[in-house]
Amino acid sequence: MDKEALCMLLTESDLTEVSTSMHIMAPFRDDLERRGFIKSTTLKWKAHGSRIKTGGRVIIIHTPPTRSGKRVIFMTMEDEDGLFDLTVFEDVQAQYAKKIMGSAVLLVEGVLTRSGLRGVSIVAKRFWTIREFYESIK
Amino acid sequence: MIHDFLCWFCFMFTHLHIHSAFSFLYGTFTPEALVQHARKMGFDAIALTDKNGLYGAIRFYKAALKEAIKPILGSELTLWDGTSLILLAASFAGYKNLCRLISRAHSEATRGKPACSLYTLTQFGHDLICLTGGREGRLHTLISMGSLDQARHWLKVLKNTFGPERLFVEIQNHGLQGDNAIMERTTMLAKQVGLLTVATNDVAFLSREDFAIHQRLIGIQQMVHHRDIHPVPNDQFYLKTEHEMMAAVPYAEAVENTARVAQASHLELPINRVHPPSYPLPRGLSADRLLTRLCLSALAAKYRPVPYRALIRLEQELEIIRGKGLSEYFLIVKDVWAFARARGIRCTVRGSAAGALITYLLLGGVDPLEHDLLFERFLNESRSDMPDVDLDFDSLRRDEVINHVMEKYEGQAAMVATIPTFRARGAIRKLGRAFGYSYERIDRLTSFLPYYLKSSQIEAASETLPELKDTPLRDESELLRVAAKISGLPYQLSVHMGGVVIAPGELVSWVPVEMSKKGFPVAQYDKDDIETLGLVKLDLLGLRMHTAIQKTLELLAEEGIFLDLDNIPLDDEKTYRLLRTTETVGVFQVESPGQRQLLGRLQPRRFSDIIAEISLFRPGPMKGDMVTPYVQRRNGKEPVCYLHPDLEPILEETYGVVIFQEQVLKIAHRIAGFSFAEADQLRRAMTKDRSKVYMERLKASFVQGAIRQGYSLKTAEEIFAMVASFAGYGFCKAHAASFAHITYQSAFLKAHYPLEFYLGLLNAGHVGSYPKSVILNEAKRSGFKVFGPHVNYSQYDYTAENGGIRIGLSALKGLGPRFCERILKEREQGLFTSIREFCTRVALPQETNLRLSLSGAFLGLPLDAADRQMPSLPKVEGGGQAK
Repeated sequence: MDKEALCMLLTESDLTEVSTSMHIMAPFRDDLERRGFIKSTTLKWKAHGSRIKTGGRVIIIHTPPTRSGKRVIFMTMEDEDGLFDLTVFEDVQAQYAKKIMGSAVLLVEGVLTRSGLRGVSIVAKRFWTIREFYESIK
Repeated sequence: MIHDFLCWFCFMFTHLHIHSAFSFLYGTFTPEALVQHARKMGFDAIALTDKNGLYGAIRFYKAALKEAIKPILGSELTLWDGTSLILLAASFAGYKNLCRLISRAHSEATRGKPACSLYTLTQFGHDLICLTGGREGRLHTLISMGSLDQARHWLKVLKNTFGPERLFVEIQNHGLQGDNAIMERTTMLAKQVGLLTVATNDVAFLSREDFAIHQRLIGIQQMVHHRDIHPVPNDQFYLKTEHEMMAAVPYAEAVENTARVAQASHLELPINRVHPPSYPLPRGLSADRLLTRLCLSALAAKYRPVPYRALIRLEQELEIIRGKGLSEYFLIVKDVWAFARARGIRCTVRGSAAGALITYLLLGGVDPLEHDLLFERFLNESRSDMPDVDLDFDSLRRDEVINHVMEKYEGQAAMVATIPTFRARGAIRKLGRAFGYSYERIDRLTSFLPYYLKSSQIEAASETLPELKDTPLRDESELLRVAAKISGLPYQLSVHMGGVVIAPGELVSWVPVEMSKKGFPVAQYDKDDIETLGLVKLDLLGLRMHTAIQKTLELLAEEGIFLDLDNIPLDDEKTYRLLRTTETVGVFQVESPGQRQLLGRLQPRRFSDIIAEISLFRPGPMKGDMVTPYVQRRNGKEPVCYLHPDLEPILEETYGVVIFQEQVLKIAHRIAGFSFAEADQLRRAMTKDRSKVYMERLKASFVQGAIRQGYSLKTAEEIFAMVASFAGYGFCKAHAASFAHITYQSAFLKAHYPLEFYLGLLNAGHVGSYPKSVILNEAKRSGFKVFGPHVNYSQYDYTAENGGIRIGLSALKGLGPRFCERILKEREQGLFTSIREFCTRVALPQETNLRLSLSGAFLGLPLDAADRQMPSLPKVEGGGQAK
């Protein structure tokens, strides 16, 4: 973890509505990559059905009406390379809903799905906070 | 007389003094609940007399008529001295006077504290029945103080104002100390002055058990709004039975006279009839002629040559508009649009109105002939409701348009109300304060409560939603009980985002009007009640995307690029290529995760693809599973098939899938031989009432028509089944086309002028789904450099600088517009040459200077010896101008 960069980011977020220095994920990138977490640009090249790990800032959480009537959480997250989308079904919500709703930054493991030429999204299976990640690697 | 006597006998006791939840944060029930309760108790008539308003009157009126209960509309009006009277409308003329009185009470006094003068009361007292106000009335106050002479005088004043036949003295008994004595003295005084008495109960709740709910609502007024108000003193202020009233008020004549009052009210509201507004016409010119002239002139300008079908279409549309007496309405819409255009305010039409040729001619937008849009979806001879033309404006300048409407149609126009009701989060937050909880405790209670949840659903949600598993609300049974009871109750009058009502003449004779915080007049009815009353509403909405587009165009103009965005061709390949990449953050309507996924699947290549994209990603088509077959057929993964070849011309554009409501109309017209008006009726019937019995009737009508047209029974039934399954989920193509135009324009700007477009988005407030940080990050990834805020180089907003983006001073937290202005104004005298000089010239608080320093806003400024101690962020770009 680049602690100096993290401090700078925290100060910046206290002072301005936008960050000019770096993305919130940048200070953690080296540690994440060493443990198999990929960036959003890499997602586009993964095959349908691949098991992947990634992470980013939570941007949108959306629970629109569905045909089945069951709640499905659609999320958009952002890392240094861009936006990516996730779907969280009820079985995963049972364990992680509170974490999803209450965290600004999350790590996720899931299955990549492709639809059409450019449609890429992740069916999420598991979430961690950054704190949990670092506690697990201590 | 015998007849009158028999009529009173039939009516028996009638409650005449009732406060529903539209006496905000006081009454505990809706008007509909009141009517249901009254029906169960066997009442034939009932009054609604909310405080200083008729907010719930129309709903009450409709609900009562539905239950065959006579509705008596009234209000408890506050007088100049803080006491009140009950005023009931005896007729429609009386209703108008009541509206005028309520409006005057609001306009003549301090906002939020309405009060009516005696003079105003005498001006508009005709056709009203006056009750003396019970324990809130001046009479009661004087009698309880022992001032009988003054009380007698007051009764005489009221008698002169309303006449003896229209004035009744209220006697009440709520079991309070002194009530019996006051009843006796009141009855005696009434007799002395020659007036009749009526027995009333000051109703604030439907049953005794709800007294606690009333107390909590008052608690909200006290703790949240800091009002000096108290709850009623005991639980007797409920909707008593006739028997209970006779026991409480042992004056038989007073009880019987309530029926006399009920009988004296003959109010019939002219509901479900259209009352179009009037437009100031030039002398010697009728509205029809003026509208025709404007349309023909625009037709000649837009079509060269004018196609015959355009002329036919225009005449058909004008005929319907003329027949419904709506020419003046369209002239008003045109006037509003012309005002906006003349001032360079971006403006577009949304909704089914975009399907009308008249709309295209008067207001611009998409060509309905080119896109095969139907006028009948918007307006046809079978529709009795008013048309609704919705206009979207640059959100920063929308108030200029509203100001214009209020000034030009002064006295005729007002904003439409919206009346918010308690939902889970709001109910818990407000009740939490009434319960005396701290803000921290309330935050913990409301965390993870979804915004859409009703307060009556909290308990169930805590069982089903995993994030509420450990909610502290589980230990708050009383709070949850009260929250459930107030679920859905209205709690204040707010202003609709853009709805403006324009009456045919004086508005305050149709609906009471108050003033909003911004100083606009606001009608006391919401849009549904305005529509019920047959008044016309315009929606003048603010669209931040218009603001973003406008700012982009202004920036381009500064660079010498002048774009006529509204007339660019709709076949730009670079634009469609951008859409196909799904990198559409900031692009109108197609930037959400779901829309981007759909773009990835659909891969749009032409304008009609954008229309389909916008139409498909809606709850209806998603629930109706229209997306998958459409995408599969569009991409050649599934064959396109039609139940009958005659459906091909109608469904070809959507690959055989019914997506648009207009397609339902066309199918009913083509296959079953319905007129478009009848077809629209069918469509609306299918979306509203889908009971099995009704659907069978519709089916029979459709199938018979199809057989008459020469189709087999099997084909007719199959086509009906298809229509029936999609009709409820279809989307209005005209609306989609109108929005698609803005989508295309924003995508065009992003594709061709990305830097200016990013700046337009950043400077337009919160546009679309994403925060500014996401927009800026995308700009960075696109290769644009981003420079931090700087006291010498930043403006208030984000600006272009050396091919990159300079963050504006407005992005600094804690700086505020006032301090930003001070910096910019001082900088006009010359750039700051040192930090010390800045501090001296601008004179901001020390903490603000520290924040500026930490954010890098001083980077590059030479340090004085005294300034070396000031810390600042290393590595933050912003020092000097970018190279």
